[in-house]
Amino acid sequence: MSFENDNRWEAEIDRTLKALPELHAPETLSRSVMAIIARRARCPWYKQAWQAWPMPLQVVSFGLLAAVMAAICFGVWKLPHLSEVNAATQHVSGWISWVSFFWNIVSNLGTSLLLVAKHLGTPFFVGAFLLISLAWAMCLGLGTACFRLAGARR
Amino acid sequence: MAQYQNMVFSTAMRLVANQSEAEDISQEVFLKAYERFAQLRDSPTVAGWLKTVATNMSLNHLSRYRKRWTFFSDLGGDSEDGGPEIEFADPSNIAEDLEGTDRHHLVEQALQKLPPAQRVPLVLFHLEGLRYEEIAAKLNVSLGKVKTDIFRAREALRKKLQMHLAEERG
Repeated sequence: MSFENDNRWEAEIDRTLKALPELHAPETLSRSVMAIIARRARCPWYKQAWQAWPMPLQVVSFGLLAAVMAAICFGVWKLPHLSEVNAATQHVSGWISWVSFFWNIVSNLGTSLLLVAKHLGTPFFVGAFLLISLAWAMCLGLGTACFRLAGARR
Repeated sequence: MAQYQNMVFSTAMRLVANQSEAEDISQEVFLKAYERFAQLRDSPTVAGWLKTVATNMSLNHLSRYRKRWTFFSDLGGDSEDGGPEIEFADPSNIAEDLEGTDRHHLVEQALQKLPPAQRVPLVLFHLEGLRYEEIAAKLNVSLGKVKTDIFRAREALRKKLQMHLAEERG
């Protein structure tokens, strides 16, 4: 196709597309929008998004949240220095001693696996990586073939 | 809403090429507009705002729901039509031929049959009036790809229109 023809077709398609009339929206569109708006209007304020709350409630809720946040920050800063808290922490740590036992097992297992990995060396990991990559490529190839086959049947 | 619903629906429909998805997008656009009703009520740019929001929502929709298919679609290259290559006639002949038939309906149908990778930049360029650079930025692709896709879209459209015309003539 010649360059001149390309330009003429571009101009022609531009003119044709710009001349297209608007499509008719389905009858259901305005009805469904109105229904959603009505449903939202019936919804109580506390079930709506925070941005839709009345302004005084937004201010109050924001103030409350800020106060809670400040209390948490103050607590985190102050609590570790209290003797009662230290005693309570020791008491709680006694209850969860089984967690440290479990953690020791996991830690030992991890160390053993690390030793095994070091013993096997780099070639083993390179081989495993290649094998996994090959399997992934095969899956992708098969998936693509199936997709194309399904598309061709349609 | 009645004044703008066809415009919003057309924008979405030409980008997503699916009636129910376009209706959902239009619905979201009007709900967004309702949330900003106070600002939009007296604004002279309300039509432009609605069109921009409809375009952006349609593009978001396409990227969200169709990204997974892009890879597979790209593998197919340009052979999606499956038909043999045709030696195209002079464009002015197609234009003249189209005058005698239900031109808008044919073009609309042909447009909706284009693959999204071609239809979307074509619509953004010719119907939304965006520049190549703006389309590249919106679709997050290179400028070269936008130009190629639009060129291919025009060619595919020409091919589809010629096929339609040939079928009509029997």
